[in-house]
Amino acid sequence: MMWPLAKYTFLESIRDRIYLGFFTGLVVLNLLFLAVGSSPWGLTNHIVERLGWLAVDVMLSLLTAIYAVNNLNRERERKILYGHLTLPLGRSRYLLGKALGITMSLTLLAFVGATVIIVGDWYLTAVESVPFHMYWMVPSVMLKCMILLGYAILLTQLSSSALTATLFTLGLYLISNGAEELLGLAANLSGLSRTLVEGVYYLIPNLQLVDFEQASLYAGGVTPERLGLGLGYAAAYVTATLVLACLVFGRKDL
Amino acid sequence: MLGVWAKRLVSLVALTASAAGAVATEGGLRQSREAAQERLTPPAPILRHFTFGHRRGVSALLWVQTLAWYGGEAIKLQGKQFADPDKLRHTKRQIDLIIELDPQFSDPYLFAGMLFAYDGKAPLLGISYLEKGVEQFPDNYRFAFYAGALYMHLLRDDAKASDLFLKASRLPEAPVYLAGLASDLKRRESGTETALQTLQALLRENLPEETAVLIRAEVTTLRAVYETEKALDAYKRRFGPPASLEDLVKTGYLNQLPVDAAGDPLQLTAEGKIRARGQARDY
Repeated sequence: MMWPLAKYTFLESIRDRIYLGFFTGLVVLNLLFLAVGSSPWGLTNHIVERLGWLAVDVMLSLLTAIYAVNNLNRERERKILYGHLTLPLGRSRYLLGKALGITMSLTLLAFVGATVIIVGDWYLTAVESVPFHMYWMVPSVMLKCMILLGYAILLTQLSSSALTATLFTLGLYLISNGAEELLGLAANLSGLSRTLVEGVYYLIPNLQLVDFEQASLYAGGVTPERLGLGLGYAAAYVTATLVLACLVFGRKDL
Repeated sequence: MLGVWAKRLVSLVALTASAAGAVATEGGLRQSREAAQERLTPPAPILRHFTFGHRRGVSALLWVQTLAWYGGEAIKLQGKQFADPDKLRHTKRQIDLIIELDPQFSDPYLFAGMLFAYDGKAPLLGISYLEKGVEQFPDNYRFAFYAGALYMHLLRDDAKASDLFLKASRLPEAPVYLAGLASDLKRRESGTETALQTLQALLRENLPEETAVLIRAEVTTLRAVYETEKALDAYKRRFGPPASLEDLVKTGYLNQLPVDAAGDPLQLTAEGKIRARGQARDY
């Protein structure tokens, strides 16, 4: 029963106004970067690729935080959730099905974003060959989004309002995406403030461990070790957050 | 009654103060907006620690902003040099930040190198950016090439220029003429023998065939020039300056009239120097 729910969530997502808004925004943003990159200012594909990667990463992460919380909360508010739970489907499977469906819709958007950049980059900025290496942005961004999605689902179960859960997830994205910078900041501090910042660093997920941008754009590709580390790290975090979310949801008085 | 008038007075003062405040704020805002547009000062200390993991993307955005600003300023200057110290200082801050955020982005090193050397009239500052580029991109010949060009054109330091051109000539995709240019400069700076030795050492390296062919030809020419110079010195010690190279053949200092790699005869200039046809300068 989990797969039909995932499929339903996917189809529901891609027709959702928030999702379509982000979809359009991402495509427009990428086209804008392509226009900038192919302008006669002498800008190179370097700009197109980095700005495109930035756009996909930020838009997908924002969408994860906003849409996942919104989707789960809306089902509860509109009592659709009770309809789902009357089916022979446990609460845990319900959450996992939703997570899978949302992940599928996010993956579709990541592919579209990457493809717009790759095709445009190849067509407009006179790179010698199709920059297929840019497709590394899909697993990179998706691993980040899956970690965020796990947190968004957990926070939705823990908090009473959708706004709080969204804000916490967005805050978590901002801090954990710059986890290495947090460590750099701690190095410039001393005493209690340093301990606090270091403490935050170890508490939050380090999304830079699943970020393949540097390896993909400069180091000639993502090594199997790097990919394995990213996959393992993301799998551990997603499993932990989803298990916790399922435990909380299982005991929740609906 | 007095209370009412007092209230009216206070209201009037408050209203006037509010209007004055609004005007001042608007003026201040406009000034600060203009100042911001003029300087586009990025909050560097904040950006260093708070790009939230998007160092490369933020660096790219700053680069676009810098180019757009520079382009606007260049249009305003209508072809005059971009030499305002404040603007150059601002550009330096921007470039430093861009490089710090994304050290593997090559364009800012080249841009800063040329901008500070020519517009800023600070060739050493420009060269320092190009040298950073040489360290960062050891396989890209452009940084050593441009640094060499700045040493040659602006600092008249042929020795350093020659070394940098030689370094660049060893790198992939380097233009084939670079080794010849390096040899020319080396010869002017240190004499034909040193230039010859430098090129012979370069030939022992694993060079692209196209470059190696050109260097072999240059070595052949330099060898002929070197032998001719030795013969000329010996002739001068005994007879004084010759009228032409034929005098050296007639007196047995040379077996035949010397030729360069292309078979063209070497020439004796009015200053008593030997010149090969393909060479740009007399020595």
